Amino acid sequence: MMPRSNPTVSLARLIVVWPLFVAATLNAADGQSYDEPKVTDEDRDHWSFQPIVRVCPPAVKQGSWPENSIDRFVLDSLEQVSLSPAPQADRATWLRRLKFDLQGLPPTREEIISFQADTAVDADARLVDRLLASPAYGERWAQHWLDLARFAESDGFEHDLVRGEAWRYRQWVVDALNDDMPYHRFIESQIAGDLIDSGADAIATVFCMSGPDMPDINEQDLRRHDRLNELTSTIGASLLGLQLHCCQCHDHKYDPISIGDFYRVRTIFEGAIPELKRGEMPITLARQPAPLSPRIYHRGEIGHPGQFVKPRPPRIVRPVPDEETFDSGDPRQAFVRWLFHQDNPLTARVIANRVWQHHFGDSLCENPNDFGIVAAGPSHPELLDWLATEFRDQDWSLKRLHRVIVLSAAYRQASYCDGESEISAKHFARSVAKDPDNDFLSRFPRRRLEGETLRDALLCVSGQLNTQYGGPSVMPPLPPELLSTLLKDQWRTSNARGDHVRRSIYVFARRNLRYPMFEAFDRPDAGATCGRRDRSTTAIQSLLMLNGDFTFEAARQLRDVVLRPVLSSASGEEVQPAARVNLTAGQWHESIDRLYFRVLGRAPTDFEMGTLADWRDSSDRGSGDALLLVCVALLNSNEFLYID
Amino acid sequence: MPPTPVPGNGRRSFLLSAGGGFGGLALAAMGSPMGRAAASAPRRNSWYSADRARVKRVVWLFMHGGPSHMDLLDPKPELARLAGQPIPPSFGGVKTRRAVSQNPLLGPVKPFRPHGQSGLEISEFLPQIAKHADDLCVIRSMHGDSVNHPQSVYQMNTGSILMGRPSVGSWVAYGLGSECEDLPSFVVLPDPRGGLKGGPPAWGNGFLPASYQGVTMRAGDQPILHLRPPAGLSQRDQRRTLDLLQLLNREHLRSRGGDDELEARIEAYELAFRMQVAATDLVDFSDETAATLDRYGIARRETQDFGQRCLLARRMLERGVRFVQVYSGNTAGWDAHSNVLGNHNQHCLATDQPISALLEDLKRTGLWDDTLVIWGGEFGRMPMSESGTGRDHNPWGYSLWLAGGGVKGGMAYGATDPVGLRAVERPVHVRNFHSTILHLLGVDPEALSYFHNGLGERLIGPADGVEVVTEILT
Repeated sequence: MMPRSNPTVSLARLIVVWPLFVAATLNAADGQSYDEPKVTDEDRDHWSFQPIVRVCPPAVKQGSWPENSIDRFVLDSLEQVSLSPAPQADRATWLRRLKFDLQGLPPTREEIISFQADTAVDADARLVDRLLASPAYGERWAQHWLDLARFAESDGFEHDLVRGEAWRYRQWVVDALNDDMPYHRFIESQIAGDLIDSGADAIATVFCMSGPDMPDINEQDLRRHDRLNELTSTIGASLLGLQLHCCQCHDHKYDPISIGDFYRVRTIFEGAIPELKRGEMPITLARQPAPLSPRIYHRGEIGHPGQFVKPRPPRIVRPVPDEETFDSGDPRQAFVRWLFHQDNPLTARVIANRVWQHHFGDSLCENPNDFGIVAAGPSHPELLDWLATEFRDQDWSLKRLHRVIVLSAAYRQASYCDGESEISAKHFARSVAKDPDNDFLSRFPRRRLEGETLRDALLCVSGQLNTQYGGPSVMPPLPPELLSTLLKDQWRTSNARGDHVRRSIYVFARRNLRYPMFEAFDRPDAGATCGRRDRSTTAIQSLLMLNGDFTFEAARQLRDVVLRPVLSSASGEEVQPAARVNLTAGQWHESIDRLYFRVLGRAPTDFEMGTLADWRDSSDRGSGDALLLVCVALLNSNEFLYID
Repeated sequence: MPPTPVPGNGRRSFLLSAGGGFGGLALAAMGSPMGRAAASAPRRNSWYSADRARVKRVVWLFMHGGPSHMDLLDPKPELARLAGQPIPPSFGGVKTRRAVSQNPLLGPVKPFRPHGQSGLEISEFLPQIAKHADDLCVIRSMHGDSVNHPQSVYQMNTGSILMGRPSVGSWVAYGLGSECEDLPSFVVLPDPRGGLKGGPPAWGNGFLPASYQGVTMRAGDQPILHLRPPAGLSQRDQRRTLDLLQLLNREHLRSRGGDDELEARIEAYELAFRMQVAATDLVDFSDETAATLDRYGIARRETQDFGQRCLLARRMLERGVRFVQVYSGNTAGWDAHSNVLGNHNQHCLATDQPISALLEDLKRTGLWDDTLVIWGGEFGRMPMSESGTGRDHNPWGYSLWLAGGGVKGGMAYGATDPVGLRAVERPVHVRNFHSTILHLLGVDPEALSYFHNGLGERLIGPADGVEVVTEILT
């Protein structure tokens, strides 16, 4: 198996073949004719349009390594290029990885100690179940979905008006994930929630309406046109892994998707968005008496309407839609049925790939939002199909999919050589040399914390985190220099101090101003669906972490929370730690030990202990102050910012 | 031809190969304080040609709200003649933001005079800028696509009326990298009163990595957010902390060799430290003479703010910042719906003198020849009156000017119709204006692209027919 299938071959084929098809000429309503390219069987040869195949996990040589089927696929591909998997990460590393991964939080000292002590064979599985059952799981994973939903709680553009009820959608996502709502139901609610029985799920359709909006525009028909096109592009990229957006103006240059396909998909939603009026801001879908403008718009311009079209999915994707259900019932419900039809090759692959991506940092495909011709296909196609099948067979349960992934041996690999064993050193030298991009997963990929997780981690290790669940969004304080770039009253700092230290998922998402730490650490701008964040390293991040009040306050709280038990155990009573307190060598030692557990989830090494003791001795300040600086350093350290 | 597909490589080798194959430019970009993007550093600089490059840097004076071309840069005697009458039907219908199309025409509110050797006509609103007439290249036939502020602010800054595309400054930071070791490549100096219509997305990075977005700076003690240690941490303690941090980071890296992201972060902290010094030095005007400060109008209330920011812009250009934007105008800005004379008096008074000083300094310091100066808003204004003495938005025809390296001075290019309603002669769409900026920087606008969503996405936009306005180039 070749990792990252090279797209050149199929690309070349398409360039030759695609434009040469005899095109069907359709008569446009206003006389503009449109030659729609046909879709051929050859187009469907592309991997992602092929049916999902249930594959038997392959036989492998190193039979003792695999813990489940995932590992057989991973190991098979490693063995084919004479590589072997990395040694296991130690349990503390695995715990930290898992906790950040599933909950976006660092493990506590107590968790580390009790997990280390739990030697039962099912200890790992019980831990995974416990982490998945916690509300913190939904608070972590909701952001992944909200990136795709280009979610923000304001319009953007000039006035950036607040969408007062938008937070309910954020909460709906958090709750749905915590309830392990089956994925088909999760999507059905977001596309057609207003049509389900009581319509209680109508708030879920904010997914469709979550893009930027300019309610005060003169041309309200243009506003509606732009919103529909934006929604169609989002549906394509997020649910189907297809870049439909290119086709709002013209037939896709490489993928077998036409402008007709784009506007057919758009027409599915035509009947759900009312005629817009100036100043009105609908944020959910609602069935309308009749679809307004089910047509093609040449060059994507409202001034160039073409022929009428019927609501249909893109022709390239199987199954052939049941036209009756699209034409007689509500096409959104028909579309959901089509998405989750047994023969649909994209829906399950796209989401399985995303789940994998968030566990392993990179997705199996080059671009999780593009399963088309140009982007590189999956590095492990059979594994992807196995995950998709498994997901479908397990009632579309995301939690079960997480479980099987994180309990694999692949997920248990170390990300680096701990330096103690020669075998390990050899392995990593070879892994880095032969698999520099880690395409074969010959080690665990190291990852930087995302901005939201970094903030949560800072709050958590410093003992400040308020774990209150749900409710309207909060506004923590912002630097005054930033406030001045906004219009008046666009950011009203929450009154309650406790609201300033809620989890990041509850921080108000203003489209025109991302919270500084989120922005600096690559949160997408909610202008378009985002399936994969950038991962930049900048001096602006360093300034924010080194000089920002938020980190410094976390460092101060961290010092106090570390010192408190150290000082009280010495005097027998609770002592309020002061900056200039002088610690005995033993107290310093204990403080550093506690500090390392809190921040890095491990005990300090002898080297570190020695370095810090020297450093303290060279300080002309009280130990309390010296400890504060150690806290600042640790909160800025690569080990804190990265997950091994 | 399709773009060259990126062969199956993950992001890490991507970076490493960028270092090797991209030469000095990529290295410069990586060494920039804005750091590097792990995901997609430019693979090759097929878009840049040193032979074509006429300038190295850009300063863009953005008159937010929409300055009135027929009162500043585009003399319209015919409009004066028809003042008070409705617009003749021969001009056809026009889309407007407010219902002004049937309102009586408003004649130019200030007289124009020819200036310099060239005789370029500029109104009495701008007496100081007018002294540089022979250096200005006025484009009188600009046009865009929206009558709304935020859409036009986005279009002027990003090429698209939609929200969320990368801004021109970010294109340039990405496409050319940094010339400066310890300041960002793309700096924005917003009006301190805030309220840009469209907000910070106007200088956003869109789908480009965050390291290319505009960094906002301001005059005064805290020019960049988080530039100074927090209260309670001295400079000396900060350095000690940093030394400890880097010691721990290097120890951490020792067993994780080959991870360039970790190394980059170690480097980023050193850059951040240097930036504290460099940015502090940047905003410290104590090495400027009293005469200089006076020329920028820093001692006078009306000109103090914009003067400070123009001087800051000059100091940035001297230090190698690639792209500087200086905004004039808070929420209302130049948006003279009710009283063009009053509004423009105020804004011209605030900006005319400082801009003139900036132009002088660029000449004097030798930066002129490789700096491009841009002056303009997101659109112009209508010939019809609004509320008697005001004017509504006009994206269909308006003016802006360029100066500096590579552009002809003393020139008026293109024309609007006799009342200034639409660009009619040699019209310049915003997209072609952008492509001309790129061209002057040595960048092929058709080639500048970023690998995104499976395609090498052209930053100038997907539309065909991108043109450089070659007639204005020297």
